[in-house]
Amino acid sequence: MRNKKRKAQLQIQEMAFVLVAIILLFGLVLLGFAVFQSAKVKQLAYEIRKEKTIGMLDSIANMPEFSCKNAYCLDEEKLIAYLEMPNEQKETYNNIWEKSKIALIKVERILPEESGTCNSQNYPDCKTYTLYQRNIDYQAYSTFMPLCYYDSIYGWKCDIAKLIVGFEVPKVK
Amino acid sequence: MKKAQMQQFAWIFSIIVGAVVLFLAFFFVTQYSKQVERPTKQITIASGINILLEPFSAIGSLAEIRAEPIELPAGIYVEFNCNAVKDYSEIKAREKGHRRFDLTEKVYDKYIFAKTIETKARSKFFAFSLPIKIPFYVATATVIVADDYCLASLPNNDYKESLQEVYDSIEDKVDIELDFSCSENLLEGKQYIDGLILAAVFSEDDVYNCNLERILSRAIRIAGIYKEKAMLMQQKGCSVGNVISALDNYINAAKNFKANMNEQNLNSFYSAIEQLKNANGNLKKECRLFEE
Repeated sequence: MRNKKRKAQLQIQEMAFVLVAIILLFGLVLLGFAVFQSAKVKQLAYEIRKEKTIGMLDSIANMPEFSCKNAYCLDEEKLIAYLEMPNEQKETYNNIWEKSKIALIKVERILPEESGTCNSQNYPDCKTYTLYQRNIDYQAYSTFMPLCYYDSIYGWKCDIAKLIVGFEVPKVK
Repeated sequence: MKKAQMQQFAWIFSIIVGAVVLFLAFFFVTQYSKQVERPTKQITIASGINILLEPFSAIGSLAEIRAEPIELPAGIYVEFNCNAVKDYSEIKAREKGHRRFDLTEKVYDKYIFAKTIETKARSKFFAFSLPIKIPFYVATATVIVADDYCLASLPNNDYKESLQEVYDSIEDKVDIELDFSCSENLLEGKQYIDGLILAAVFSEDDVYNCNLERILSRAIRIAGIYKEKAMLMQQKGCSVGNVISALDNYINAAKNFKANMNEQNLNSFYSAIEQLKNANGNLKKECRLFEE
């Protein structure tokens, strides 16, 4: 009688162990699947942001805040005016960049070769306009564009510049 | 415990555990399929209104009015909202009968003028881009036409002709009928500015007013940029005449109109636009701030 009872208890224990093992196995499979799915989603997010950023290069270059009056180029005086805009107005643009996951917007003069950050005193003998920057990881794309300004001798004059736009890399948790 | 009792317990136990395992399996499978199904629905709806989410404005001031067809499946409800403070247009779409919106998208670089859309059958509408110049280029609005209209009474013939041209180019691809020979009162109670007549016709009042407010805010910011640019050009020897005072006047008039959209402020804004247009037009070609 006592032996039978012990045997029955053993059978129940065995079944419980099997059930726990099955649940653990299911759990592991689900966990693996979730990890695989989240990696896929992150990759997709990365690709979408990359495509949007490349599209943004064109949109930013064509914004009336930066573009020339009658051709596909950047207006240097407008870039300076943008940098000197009151903070509360610039905040509106900063919000748009942030919501669009943009981390960097920069214009660099390539030809003629210059150095230093640009301002109203030293332009056009300077290199960089940083229109927006956040201190986060980003991946940048660029396009070459004419950078034009008023010159008292030649009228309108254009240099070659690079418009650089960086997008926020999706965080890996 | 007797052997019979033990066997009975084993049966009951396995039935309960089996039921729990099956329930959990079904639960996870249905949850997962819902998760998979949601993006699929989003994609179906989004592909219809894709044109609103893409950088339509990339063409900038160089483009004239141009149209693209929009195709939506049956039983879709699309709502358009706008937030002037946070400066965005919002598109919300769901299947009819659903409470939750399958797609909610905020677009910061667009000004979408539209009325709520409800599709009974598969429908083809169209959206057109409308460059806004007051008097300089400020933005490109996107206007959605999802109903039939009588447009003979439109106050500005230039815009009517442009719209007719656009409609003629897309007429055979859409289910919308625009009749330019019959008339209905489409602009009642709206304070429309000249460049936005078409936007006023095809949008809800609150969407129009909110987007107009956003456009005016942007025009004020761009006018500030032109003012700074004029000062820089002046330092380099370019004569800018009375453009700077015209820009100041423009900024004040736009601010007043934005704060209070009545006829008096609209007229002051129009005269500020004219004054700026003349001041800019009187400059030497290389010193002009913008081209009309």
